[in-house]
Amino acid sequence: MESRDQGLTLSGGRGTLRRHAGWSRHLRLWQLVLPASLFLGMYFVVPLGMLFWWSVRVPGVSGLTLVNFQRLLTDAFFFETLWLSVRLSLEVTVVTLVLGFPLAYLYTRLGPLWRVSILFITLLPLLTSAVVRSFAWIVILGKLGLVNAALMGSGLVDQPVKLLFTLDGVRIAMAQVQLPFMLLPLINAMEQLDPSLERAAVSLGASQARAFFRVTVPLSAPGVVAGAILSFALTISAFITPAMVGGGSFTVMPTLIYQSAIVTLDWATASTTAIILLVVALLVVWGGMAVARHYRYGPGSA
Amino acid sequence: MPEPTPGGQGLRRSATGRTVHAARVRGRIGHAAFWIVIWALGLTGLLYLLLPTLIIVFASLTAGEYIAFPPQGLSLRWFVRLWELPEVRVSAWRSLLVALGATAVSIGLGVAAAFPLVRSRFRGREALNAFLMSPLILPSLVYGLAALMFVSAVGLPLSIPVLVLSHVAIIVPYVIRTTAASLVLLDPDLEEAARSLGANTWQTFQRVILPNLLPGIATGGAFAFISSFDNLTVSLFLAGPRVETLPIRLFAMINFDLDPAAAAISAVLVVVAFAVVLLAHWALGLSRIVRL
Amino acid sequence: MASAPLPDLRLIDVTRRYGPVIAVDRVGLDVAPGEFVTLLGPSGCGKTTLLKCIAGFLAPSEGQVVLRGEVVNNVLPHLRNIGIVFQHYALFPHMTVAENIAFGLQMRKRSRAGIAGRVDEMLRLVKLPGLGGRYPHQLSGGQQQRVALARVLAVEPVLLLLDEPFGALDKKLRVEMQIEVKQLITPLRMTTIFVTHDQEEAMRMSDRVAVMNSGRIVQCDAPGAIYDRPRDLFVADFMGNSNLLDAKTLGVRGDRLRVMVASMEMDLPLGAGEIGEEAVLLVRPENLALNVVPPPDRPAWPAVVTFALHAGPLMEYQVVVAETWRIRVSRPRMQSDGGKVWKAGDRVAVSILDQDAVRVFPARSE
Repeated sequence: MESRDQGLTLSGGRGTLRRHAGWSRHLRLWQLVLPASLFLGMYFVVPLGMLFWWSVRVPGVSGLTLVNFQRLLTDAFFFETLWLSVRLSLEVTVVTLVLGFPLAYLYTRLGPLWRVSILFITLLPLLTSAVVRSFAWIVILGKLGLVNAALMGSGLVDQPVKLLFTLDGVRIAMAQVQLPFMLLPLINAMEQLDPSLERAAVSLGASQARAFFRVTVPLSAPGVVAGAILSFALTISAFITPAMVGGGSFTVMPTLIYQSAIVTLDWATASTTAIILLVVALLVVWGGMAVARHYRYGPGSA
Repeated sequence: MPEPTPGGQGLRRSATGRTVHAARVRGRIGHAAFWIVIWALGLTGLLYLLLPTLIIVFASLTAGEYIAFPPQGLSLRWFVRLWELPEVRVSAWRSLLVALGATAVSIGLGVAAAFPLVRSRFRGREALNAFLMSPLILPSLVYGLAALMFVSAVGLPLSIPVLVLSHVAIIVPYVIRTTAASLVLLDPDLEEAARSLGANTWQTFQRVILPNLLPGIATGGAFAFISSFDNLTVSLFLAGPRVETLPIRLFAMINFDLDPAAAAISAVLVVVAFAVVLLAHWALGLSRIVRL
Repeated sequence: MASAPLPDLRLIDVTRRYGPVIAVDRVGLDVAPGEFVTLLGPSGCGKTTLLKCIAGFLAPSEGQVVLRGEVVNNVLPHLRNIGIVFQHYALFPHMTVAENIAFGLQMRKRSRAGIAGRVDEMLRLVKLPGLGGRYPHQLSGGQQQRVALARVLAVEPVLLLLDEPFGALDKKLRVEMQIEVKQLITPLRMTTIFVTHDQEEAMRMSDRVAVMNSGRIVQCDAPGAIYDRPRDLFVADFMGNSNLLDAKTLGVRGDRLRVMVASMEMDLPLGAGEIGEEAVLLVRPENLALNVVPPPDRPAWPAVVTFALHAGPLMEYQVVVAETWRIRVSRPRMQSDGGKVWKAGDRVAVSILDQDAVRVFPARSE
């Protein structure tokens, strides 16, 4: 068997770990990837297969069936929950875009100290547990929380405003939780833009605002799509924040999955809901990627 | 040579002096307005990102019995209290063990896997890479459920090792990614130089490759560790009844009163996260991590 | 009495600071209408910063930028009507060639028909007819360069700024583009400021060259004058190749200056430069001759050839005088008097061909 190790890396570079005399003679490079692949194959793929299995099996019916899917998709409550999940994810994605785009733009225009600070502030919540983040929002939005203390203290309202355990509260919390996921792809995309493009537009007579909208925004489209896809997919599958900040006031898809899996032990419903969730998320991802491809402007753009 | 005057020969060909002047004033107003809006939105976003973290740390330092605004003095009593609560100590210890175990396994699997992904060329390499990264995009809730189904189908009782393995599945992509990124940056000429000077594979790995990979491995390991330590959804499914990790304990503690003990646990988690970001910046640089 | 036409661009004591660092130091320059002036200097000399001040992307810390008689320090860059061609062309990748060229016209709210006509006119001008529908990434480097020019010329700017526009091209294409660009803009009598670090390019294209160092314009003259009569050692060293020889001034005799260089005395014209005890002589390599025996009419040093390099149309030699002074000499390979081609080891007599072309500078204070 010949060694087919060639140079090329995933993103540039060359070089190989060549075979040498000694114990390594019997070890091919590609075999190093086996442990991880086998592990994931067994501990990741197989469980997902089981998930799928549970969703297409019904006791008393032999073979595969789509009865579970039919049952759920025709159920009004389920559909409402699905629709609520999708709507919430869309709303949150839009808010993160509105706040994230200017911040990403500023990032590209500011010096290194600002940049590191922005990255730090963006990464820190990402590495903080979702429980902690949700608890922080409970503290902020609660009856005795920060917002109400400020509103009542300044005399703007007489009674505490109910933000906790409402959909609005969850919107506010989720937008903050997802903002890093929108911001990072945006920053990535905008960093790759040639800064002289905006200057060229300005020198040709475009005001800063016009240059921004006619040059920077269109060329950032791939980054926007990437961020939107990520933000949407993560929001629609988020469990902790809607559960904690929303209380029991409404149900989203992940809540449904958790309840049927752990509380009612209805694994058929749980798995079917999970599959439907995955399909919806995948559809959005594929749709987004198709849009992104349409906006590719050839080499030299983001 | 006549002295230059403002409002002289106008730069726009077909405009009178006054129109040009008006256009310039409008231009300045528009310019300022644009930047005001951008800065306002940008700073709002930044504060929005920062606020919850600051609030929770602030709340954990309260001297009172419950969290209130304005706070009733500052003290570290709640951190001391954490140490006195057996459930907190036990769950923290359990989380630490699970995270360390999962991280160790992930590093073993992930570092090995990074090499062929970066250095070899074989058909399906891109697909394999996507496969190994796929746990990052699967919602952990769905994975938790699937893993539970798998484990009960196979007949394994829910235990710490099972929990560790399920964490490994979702954190190993971090290690692979950062190690691969570090490996890509490693100049292959260094290896060839070592070989030409007589080093064998193991020596090259130990003395040339590994030291240069350590930043990537350390960063990936740190991200893996904290993802496991922080994890709630997978642990909820797989920890088993009455077995708690720290996030589970926190989840249970949070109810209608704003308990400062919960804030204290949260603050500890924030500090750990802060340390990880610092490590990542020192090892690889935040800007490089963002490009991953 | 008719006065000189108003300069299109005047820079009056323009200074730009970044904290303690002075990037541009009291620069003054007048550019006449239709003139082609190059800002030439090594990296970090401030030429790009100065360009940004002219364009309006940076505000000068002090001084004034005057366009056609008007102080424009407070005018935003998009209202200055200055055309810029950037180093990497900065063509909008998401727009076709035609849309790129039309951009400036759209900003000026011309009619659609007018824009279309003008775009076609520009495409013909830069010899790319019919390529309006292509995207920039589908064009070659030279074609992109031309579109960048077309885009800028379409709006008839009062001033053209070219920021190292040929930096991304290979040598052959570079020279072709230099000729093409000059052929384009000269008939338009477009006032142009060109920025480069390549002195050959500067000399080839410019009416005047402003040599910059550490934020100052050290000398601004026609290319020939800069080459033949550099004002100081920096300019002398930067432009072309040079031999810089330590010398001692011995005295003035009539209209001649007597110096001692490399153990030999010689007379130089008095106007050759500054006088000081310790001096540095500038002798261009092409101003030296190599002979078998010392020529009768001028002083010569005995030397040994250490390198003889075949450099295309020239031979480049290094000769060493008295084992101390290394002197570079370049001679054309084809000479009408049948000049000899030397090789390493040959003993030769080195002499200065034209003593009037030698410059004298005060010794550098190290």
